[in-house]
Amino acid sequence: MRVPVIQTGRDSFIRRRDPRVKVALFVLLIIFIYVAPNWVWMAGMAATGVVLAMLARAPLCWLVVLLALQIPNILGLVAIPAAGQLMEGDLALDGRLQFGLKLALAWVASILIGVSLVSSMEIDELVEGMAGVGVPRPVASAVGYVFLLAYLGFGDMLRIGEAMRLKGIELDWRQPLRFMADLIRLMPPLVFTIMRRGAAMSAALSLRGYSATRAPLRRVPLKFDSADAVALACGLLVVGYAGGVQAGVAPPPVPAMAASGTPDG
Amino acid sequence: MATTRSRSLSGSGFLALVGISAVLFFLSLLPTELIPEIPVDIDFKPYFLPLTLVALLPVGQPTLAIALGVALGEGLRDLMEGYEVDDPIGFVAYIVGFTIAGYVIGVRPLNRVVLFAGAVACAAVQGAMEASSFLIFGEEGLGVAAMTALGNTLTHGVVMGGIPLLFLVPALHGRFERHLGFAPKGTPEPRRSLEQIAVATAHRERGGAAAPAPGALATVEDLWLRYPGTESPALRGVSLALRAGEILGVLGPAGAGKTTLCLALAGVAPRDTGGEVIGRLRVDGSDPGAAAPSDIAGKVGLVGEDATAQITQVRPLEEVAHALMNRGRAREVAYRTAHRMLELLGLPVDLHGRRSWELSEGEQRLVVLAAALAPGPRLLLLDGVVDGLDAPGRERLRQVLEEGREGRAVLLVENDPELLLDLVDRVLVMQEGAVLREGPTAEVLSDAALLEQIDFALPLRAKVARAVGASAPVLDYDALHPAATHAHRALHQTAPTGVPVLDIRTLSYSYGEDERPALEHVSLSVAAGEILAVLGSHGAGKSTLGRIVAGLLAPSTGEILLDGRRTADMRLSDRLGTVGLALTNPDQSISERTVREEIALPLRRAGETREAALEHAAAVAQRVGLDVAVLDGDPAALSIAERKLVAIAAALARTPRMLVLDEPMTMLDGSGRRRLLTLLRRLMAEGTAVLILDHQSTLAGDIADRVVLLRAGHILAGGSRFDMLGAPGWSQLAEAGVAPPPAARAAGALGSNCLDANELLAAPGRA
Repeated sequence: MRVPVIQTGRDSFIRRRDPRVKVALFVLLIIFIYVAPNWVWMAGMAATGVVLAMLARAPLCWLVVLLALQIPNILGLVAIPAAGQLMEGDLALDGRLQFGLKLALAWVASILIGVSLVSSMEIDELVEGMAGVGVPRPVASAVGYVFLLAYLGFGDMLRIGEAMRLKGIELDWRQPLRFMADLIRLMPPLVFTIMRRGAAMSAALSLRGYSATRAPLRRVPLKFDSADAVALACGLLVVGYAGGVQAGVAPPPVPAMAASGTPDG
Repeated sequence: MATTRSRSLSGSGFLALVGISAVLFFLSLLPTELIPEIPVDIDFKPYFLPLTLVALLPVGQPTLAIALGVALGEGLRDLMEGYEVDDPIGFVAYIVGFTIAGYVIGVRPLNRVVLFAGAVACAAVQGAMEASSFLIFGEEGLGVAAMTALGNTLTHGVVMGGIPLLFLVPALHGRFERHLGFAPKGTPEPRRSLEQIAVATAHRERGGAAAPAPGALATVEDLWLRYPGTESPALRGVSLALRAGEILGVLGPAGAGKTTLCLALAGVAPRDTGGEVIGRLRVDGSDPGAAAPSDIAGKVGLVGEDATAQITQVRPLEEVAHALMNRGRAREVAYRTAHRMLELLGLPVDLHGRRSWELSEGEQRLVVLAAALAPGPRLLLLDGVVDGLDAPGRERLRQVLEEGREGRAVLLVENDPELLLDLVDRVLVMQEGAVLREGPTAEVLSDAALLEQIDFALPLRAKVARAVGASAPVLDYDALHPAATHAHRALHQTAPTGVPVLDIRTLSYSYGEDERPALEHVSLSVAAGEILAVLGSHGAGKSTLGRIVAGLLAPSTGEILLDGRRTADMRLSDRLGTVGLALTNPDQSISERTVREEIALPLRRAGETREAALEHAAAVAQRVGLDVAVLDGDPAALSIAERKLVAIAAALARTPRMLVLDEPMTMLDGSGRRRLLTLLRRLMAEGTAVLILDHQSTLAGDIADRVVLLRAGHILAGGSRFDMLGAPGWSQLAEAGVAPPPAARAAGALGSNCLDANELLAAPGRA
């Protein structure tokens, strides 16, 4: 049964990086979204995301679909306010439009960077990466367990979908009411199957000696090299500098990148 | 309604509930993600599933586990789809919102007003907290925050919360709680305590062995166990002793307590399942129920009936190697051992690094077996596993068990007495939680009265032994004639005698461009009233063939004709009226509240009125041998054998011209197998074409007209049942990885060519 997975397994520069660095960069991205001074910084991060996606050989179809799903948000945040302003003859890139641009670009950047980083890590690498940056081991292990259960559950869901098709039930979003009714009809077998699998999996983990709090041996080898150091340093530098500009303690590199609400921004 | 007191969850139980909640939320998110968001960030997250869980499970630890699970499910979505700006506060908001919901709706889950209000409250709290994130971006965020909070309260709380909840909670109430170790809300407390029951039956029903002998590796002394919310104990005073080097078989009908015994020995029951227990258990000096899981982990290996649910890693190699690494083995040693164990059990090397969910069910079963065996447990519990293995897999398992026999005890639960004769030293027969008899295998399994009591047929070897007047209670094949040798005849697929209902012409199918074909140039046909059995080992392509015939997959090349019509020209709804498919696992399709409605659903989808469909369903149920008493019961509460019959009934509801059965005998007990045979004979008489897909030849040996052998996606050979399953065909059966059926083995040992068990018994020497 083919289950779509985000992990591509393709060799790439990003794939070879230490998982701890990748998780740290993911965390830095999250921080950046809140400390970025204005939409220009966010555009820069989105551009970085494009480069990262290429370096990571991220799944193109996955990215295209996710970005397409953001179109309504982009329209609502940017296009419609911009159109309104243009109709009024107001060409200024002011508060509301800046806010909309920043938010829309934040979504785009996080999709590009997040998917690029996560797609380059197997589940065990993600768990070790999270534990390595200080996430409590039980939480990291739980994330790994949920990730795997989700993939296996997705396979179950596809099989259930097939079994329901045999009874004449097909999810057809073009008929919303029937779609909802059939979606609810899928729930009992999905619930039973996931429950059985979740309970059996948890018991099996316990019987095989897994401990959420203690890992006798690291499941994947980790190697922190100069490229990892450079990547981490760049991330810290960018976030730190952005935060400094936002706080007004660091000068922006160009006036357009000053914090919103300042004379230059 | 009285609420049920919550029990304290074990660590693995808490994790299981967190994971279940996370994954159910995540999976139900996926189809709704395709609904375009209303700007900004107003979407349709399906709150109804986690809200159903908090409504129906006890308030307290389970509520918190579910709330954490929802947050984790959202986190999983973030990892896969990209982080959203409102998510950090959103995670906390989910925990707060769903915990509040649990304490509101968990108290009165069947009150519609409370359900609806609780759902809206949950969404309002969560939505407002999450939307406040936009304020971080300044005063421009206020408008967006307000719109998002209000919009999501409506979409999550009303559309995807309150309204579906009104249908889902009553639909699921009482159907799944016990799977998680909780009594459904409103279940009255049992009238008697477990101890009272034990004392009351002390003089009447106590069964089991005498006091366990010293030196036993595992002992069970007078064990009673009752699950939450049930009156009757699942185990009633069971006693047994297992020594190192012993293989003990356990046989009994559905509900006998076989699986519960395994779970108790592994420490899973009642720790993770909930329930009460009295009695004494010891495994290698520890009490599995009281010891820390890490202590038991090294001593006990368990492979359950649903082995595929025990997959815990992405790849087979990791599944086995990590179990060893958890026991302190170095990575290199662990991976080397893992490779060896997987090869020993017959998993091809090129599959060791594949993703687990891409393997067939049989291959997944081998992986789980390897993971249980590799650490070298002292007690190995195999619950309904062997029946699901193909012939080469069974032989390899037998060899592996023999190799490590000295230091280990094995408990083997199976529904096939013939299988137990081959594998075990002693047999324990159980019924309704109690032990009826224990003793040497041949002696116990030749006790006709005992087997009749538990609704099992006497093994053919015992019947034949009686018929030939043997001194031993069962036939020993090795002591009699070797298999009758005949000149190998060139075997070719014979065409059916009648007009084919199903005609497959040079069918090929690949799952992916870079994959080896799952089926290649397959041609076969089935006539009306004929039963064709397609036999092959795991991964041969049988299930793929079934799915293509039913219309779930489209052939890559080739053509299929149903009743002379090209399937490529048929709509799926028309096809479903011609072909019915019953899958191996019936639980994937059971969705309705009653058996009657379950069988009626395909009819209603085909356009029948509800009343007509329900009436028709009752007739179909009777036809497949279901008791009329189960019609208005919950199909999820039936035994696996009855659930399989319900699934077959649903497949037959539209009176198809052809029925496809995928591994129909797997998981069936003696009664289930008999009912299936009766049904197949009836279908033949009625002119329905039947296609059986199986890794075992037992059913084919009893009833098939023709047999086709499938190997690695190719047809190896085909012919009459006699040609393919009798001694002349054994070399090709071996090549296809299929064992001969019991009747053929008996006939071979007697120097006969007879495949009919009754004829063989009537005149064993002359048949």
